[in-house]
Amino acid sequence: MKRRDFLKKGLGAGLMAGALLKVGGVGSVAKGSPAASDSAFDLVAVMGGEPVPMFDKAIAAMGGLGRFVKKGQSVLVKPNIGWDTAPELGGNTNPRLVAHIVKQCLRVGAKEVYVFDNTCDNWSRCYANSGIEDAVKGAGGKVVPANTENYFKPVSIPNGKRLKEAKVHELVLSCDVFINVPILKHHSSTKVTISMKNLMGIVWDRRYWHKNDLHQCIADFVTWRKPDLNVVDAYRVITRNGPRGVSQADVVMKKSLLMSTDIVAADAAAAKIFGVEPCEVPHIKIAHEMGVGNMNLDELNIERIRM
Amino acid sequence: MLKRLSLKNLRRIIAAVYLALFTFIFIDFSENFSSGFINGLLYLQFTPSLLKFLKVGGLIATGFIVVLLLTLLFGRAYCSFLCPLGILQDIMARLRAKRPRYKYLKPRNIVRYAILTIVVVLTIAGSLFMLYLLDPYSIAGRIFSDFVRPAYYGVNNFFVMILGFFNSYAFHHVDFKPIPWQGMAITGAVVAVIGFMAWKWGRLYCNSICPVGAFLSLISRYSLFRLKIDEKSCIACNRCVRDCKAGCISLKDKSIDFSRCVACYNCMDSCREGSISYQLAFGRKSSDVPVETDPTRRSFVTTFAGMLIGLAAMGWADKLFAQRRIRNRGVNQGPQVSAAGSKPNRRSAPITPPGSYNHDDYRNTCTACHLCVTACPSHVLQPSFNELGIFSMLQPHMDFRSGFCNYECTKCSEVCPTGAIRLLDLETKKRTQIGKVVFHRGNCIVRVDRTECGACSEHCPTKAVQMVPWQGLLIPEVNPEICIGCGACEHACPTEPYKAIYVNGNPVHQVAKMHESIGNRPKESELDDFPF
Ligand code: SF4
Ligand code: SF4
Ligand code: SF4
Repeated sequence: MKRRDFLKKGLGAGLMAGALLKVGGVGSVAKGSPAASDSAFDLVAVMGGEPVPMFDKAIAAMGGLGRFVKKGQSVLVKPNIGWDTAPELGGNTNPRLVAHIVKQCLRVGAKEVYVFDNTCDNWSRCYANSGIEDAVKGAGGKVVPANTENYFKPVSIPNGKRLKEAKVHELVLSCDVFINVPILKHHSSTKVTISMKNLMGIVWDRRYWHKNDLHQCIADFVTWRKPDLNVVDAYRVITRNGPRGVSQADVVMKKSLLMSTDIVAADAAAAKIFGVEPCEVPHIKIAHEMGVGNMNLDELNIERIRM
Repeated sequence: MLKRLSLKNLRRIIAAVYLALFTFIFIDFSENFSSGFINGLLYLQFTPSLLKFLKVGGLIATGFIVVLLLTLLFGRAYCSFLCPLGILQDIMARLRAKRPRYKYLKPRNIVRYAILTIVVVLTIAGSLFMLYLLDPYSIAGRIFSDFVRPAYYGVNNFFVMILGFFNSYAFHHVDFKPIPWQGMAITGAVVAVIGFMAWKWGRLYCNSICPVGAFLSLISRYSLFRLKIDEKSCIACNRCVRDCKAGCISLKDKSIDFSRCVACYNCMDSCREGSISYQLAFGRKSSDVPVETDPTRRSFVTTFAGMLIGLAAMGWADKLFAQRRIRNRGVNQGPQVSAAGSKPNRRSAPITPPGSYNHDDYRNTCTACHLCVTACPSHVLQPSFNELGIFSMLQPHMDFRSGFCNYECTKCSEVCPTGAIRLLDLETKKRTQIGKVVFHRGNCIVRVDRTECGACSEHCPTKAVQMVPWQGLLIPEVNPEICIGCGACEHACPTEPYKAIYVNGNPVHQVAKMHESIGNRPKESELDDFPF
């Protein structure tokens, strides 16, 4: 069951060293936020276009995807694939956007790009009917299961207040770059679901979070690992009956996209687009107070692009 | 070299291919075969086809007529070519070091027709317990779904693990949801008895207990073509008798009891004189030949029959208390941090899958073959223990601990071969109310711990659970009228051991109202500038 351990210990240090040499030195496989400081902007907001061109505009403003993904690295792209619903219903991240990000990662030299979500509805149907499975495969990415506990490994969260440990998908631990691609939606209990809430799809036991102060747990988890880049799909937005949506009547076309390395800033801006104040969403406020990121948008250097 | 394919070898090929496919549809977890293929493969299964014909009718349910005609022409070919339990018995009988040597067996007509009568009477009276306990198709289904499937999952998971070493995610891990052990024990006991009988005496089960075998035997007595021994060329070498797993060849008068012949054609191949062949036997009735009995076998069979009659009597008694209330059983998952979920609650009625329309119909039509248990992608359909009543044990119910019914799915209704779960189109299914939601505020985390939760509302596809303001927090509010009883809320609710939200089954399924928001048009953006 501990396949990573087996890989690391069982196959031995020699093999690992060889692998390191192959991808060109220790630096390129080291984890963590790559070069977060050399961006001109803390947040890029795009409005009025289709998801794919909006992404291109935003990533160019951020200094190009090459800033985040280096040659030979493995990348995890984490969309929201929580529901067995069609793309028009806005329950899952836009499949064309996800596929485009996968393709761009590969273009700048990523060795592998993985996509998964620990779904709420039946996982294989979510993957298929969201359109994400086909789109990602078509773009050259790998769609990976996250349907059983086996794929999740325990980690400890030293800075968490309520959430001290969690079981996290093994790819989060092994991938070099982590790109979070949530969709902005209404959420019946957390008001909105954006980047931070999207991370509930990389852990196994969500019930524990619901039982132990949900908002605090959401914020606690981000103290363990912040995604290297957050791309918020705010093109089709479920504005009521979320997060699943009951019908297409719940969807409003906001035609926006947000991008930031600061997960709290991304969520704050997305909350505004949705129509709530960031401080009214407890997990955004708690994360801000815990120093995970900055929700005060007027303190940030924001690039606004209209298309 | 090119020998003509003998009937026996033809039978072996067809049976092997059929059993392989049959096995696969009962263990497959990735929807590899379409529902149409599954329907086609099971078209000729006698019991489900007959039940479906009686309950639903239609072209898809005519398979049993084909089997009857086939029997009327050539005898019980079903038993050797298509009956999965029959084929399994043949495999069992070969699992011995030496080739089995069979003897002529005395017919056990009283036993087999008594069992058949009991099964028929109970079925008409509305209890399927005896039928599905003994029906060969259903037993085989349970063998594959309950015993072989977990093994198959295990092998799959092993390969997934090996592939994981090479960083491959080509296949995926799958969890087996445990089946109530009582049900497994019953199936296991039946399988052990049948397996032993097959190993020792060949097709004794088929000719003394199996209700389908007994029924078909009534027809094969009048088959148009029957196997006959040519008295002139026969040298009474006993080879055919040795190979006859039905024990129905008597060399005393060189006759074959065609009512017990399972049409395996072993005898034709073993006869070196070529004395056995199909003969037109129009109008003549094949006779039973009384020969001395084997006392041990006789008592074995009578005891078994006695047990069955006892069970049947209990089946009647069961009808009296079938509708009692079923506890919403909890599973203890270690120490409780919170008091949420400590208040017991009870379900007023169990939940049956969409397409089963009402509980009585369902109980009277489902043979517990567990095909839907295998097919359900959500693993919510699980064999019951006493949820549906003790004499509905093993019939599947909706177990919201295992999963919840996927809103966009109609799989079980597509594959069910008996008509217990009838075909639903997706739009109908989305309105089919199999139960109604109940909110138990005293168990809810929001109420007890005063923190946000809302897992129920998050998962609800109809938004029959909404979160409404309550003391600065959001607490569930339910609208049972639009609830379809899918169990998503109950499954997601994290409280233990009792859920703060659960579903009471509808003994008669209803049509749910629609959410008031459905039907409006999607709105264009109301954003014309960045709000920051
Ligand atoms: S309709 Fe529901 S119960 Fe039936 S197979 Fe699909 S998910 Fe399972
Ligand atoms: S209230 Fe519960 S059972 Fe009813 S539709 Fe919603 S999730 Fe399903
Ligand atoms: S899932 Fe719903 S009913 Fe259960 S504890 Fe959470 S809010 Fe309460």
